[in-house]
Amino acid sequence: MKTEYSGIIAILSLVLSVLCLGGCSYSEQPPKTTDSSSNYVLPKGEIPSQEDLDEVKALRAEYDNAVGNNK
Amino acid sequence: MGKRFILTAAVLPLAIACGNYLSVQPQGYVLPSTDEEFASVMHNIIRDVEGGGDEYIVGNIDRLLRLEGCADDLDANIRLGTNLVSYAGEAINTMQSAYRSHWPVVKDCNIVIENLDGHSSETAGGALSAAYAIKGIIYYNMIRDYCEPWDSPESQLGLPIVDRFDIGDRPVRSSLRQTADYALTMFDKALELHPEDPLFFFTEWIVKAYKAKLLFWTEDWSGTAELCRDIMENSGFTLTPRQEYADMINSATQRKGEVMVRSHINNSSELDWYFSMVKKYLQSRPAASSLVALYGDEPEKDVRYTSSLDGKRFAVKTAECKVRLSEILLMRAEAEYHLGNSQEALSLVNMLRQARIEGASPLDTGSLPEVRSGGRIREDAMGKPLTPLLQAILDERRKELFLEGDRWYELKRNGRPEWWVLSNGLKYTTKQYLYTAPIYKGDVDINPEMKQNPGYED
Repeated sequence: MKTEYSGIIAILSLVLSVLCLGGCSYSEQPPKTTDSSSNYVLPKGEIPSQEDLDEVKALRAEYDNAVGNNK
Repeated sequence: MGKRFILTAAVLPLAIACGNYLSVQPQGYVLPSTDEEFASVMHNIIRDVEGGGDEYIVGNIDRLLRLEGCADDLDANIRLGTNLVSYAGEAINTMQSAYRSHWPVVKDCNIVIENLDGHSSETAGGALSAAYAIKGIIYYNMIRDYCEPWDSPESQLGLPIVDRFDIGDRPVRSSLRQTADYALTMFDKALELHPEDPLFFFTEWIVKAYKAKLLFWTEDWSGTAELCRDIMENSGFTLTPRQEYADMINSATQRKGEVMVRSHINNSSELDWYFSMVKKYLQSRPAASSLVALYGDEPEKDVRYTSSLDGKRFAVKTAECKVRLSEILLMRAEAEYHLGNSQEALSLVNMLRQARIEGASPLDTGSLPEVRSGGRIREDAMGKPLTPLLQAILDERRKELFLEGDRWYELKRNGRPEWWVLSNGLKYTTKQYLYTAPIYKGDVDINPEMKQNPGYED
């Protein structure tokens, strides 16, 4: 009787050891939450009109004249 | 003997199992327990401010690079420049990532506040007041970047109120009013501790200056005027005179004259090489003609012009985030204007002009220039049309705070005007929603209760 219990306890302790020690290597990776991108899509540019281009041209001309780039 | 052996054999594996799992302290780190150790958490943050590495409290040159790239004092339509964003739409993802980076500072402040509250030592008092002040400043900065301009604060989105260190907590966004009130409480708690020790950097007048900036942003005009008057009359700081302005404004690492607080005061910062490189980026885009025109027909008489720009309109001013007495004066002038005290507002503007322009003749209400028709700012912070007096205040502000990261917030505060730049042959518009940056996308993805700012979609 005594030997029977001893055997069961010994087997149980062995199984317990394996379970406990086996569980020691836990995963350090965080759980996956989403497949979505971490970035937002940036706004798209538009084709400038001729008026826009003329405005920029005038700005640059004013600048060049003012700082003497045309001399 | 047999039973004892069997019992030991059974219990031993439980005792030794997962020993590593319980060992959570990283090697080489100390979990703070004394007042001095908690104070060192604050000193670590302050060291970053003094070295110029801090982007989220006082701010550094990286912050300026983004703010000036997004704003219009430097004109991207004349030349895009090097490593400057052409407009705010380009900085969306930088900004949503930056949102995350504010919170570790809040976490450190909360750890110090939770553990030192009620301690009576001088070290604990200094560290505690620095923690409250830094947390208040972080919230103030985030309100300006991640919340819409003050309008109907009870219904506008604010920020999560993170009042304690709890790794499992996921607070959602409060209202803008609640967030601003919370930041004000932080400043008041810091001031209750009478911060005087310069070792903790954020002393009484610095905390008051940031509190005034928050009151100004939240359009509490009487609170702003009162606090700015207190600072001007009692702090001991005086407006730097014209003759000393260039030395003050272009000091590489020293806090001089009217400068109340600035980053990068450590002249042996390991980041010095980086700053000299980034400064070149800021010098690669010329100043806008609308800014240069504000200096008038004899710009060389204005010391702000001669110390800020070279002959090709490129910036020569030392780019550092700072708070100066002149900003306090300008906030007070604008607050007095909104309170209906025009003469007081005008006399403050004249005081500043006397300290900046050689032979400046005083402005009076009758001789103020008409509101310019093509100006970018057309309405004030209250949504009313610009008047000659307010235009004069905003013009002085634009000249005074050039290259200090102010213009972007001026545009945001005063009507969020839309404007465009050409970049690589395409036209990009700074639309109204872009004035408010997105919060971190991961926070929104993981928590359906967390609301993103309008305009940002996948």
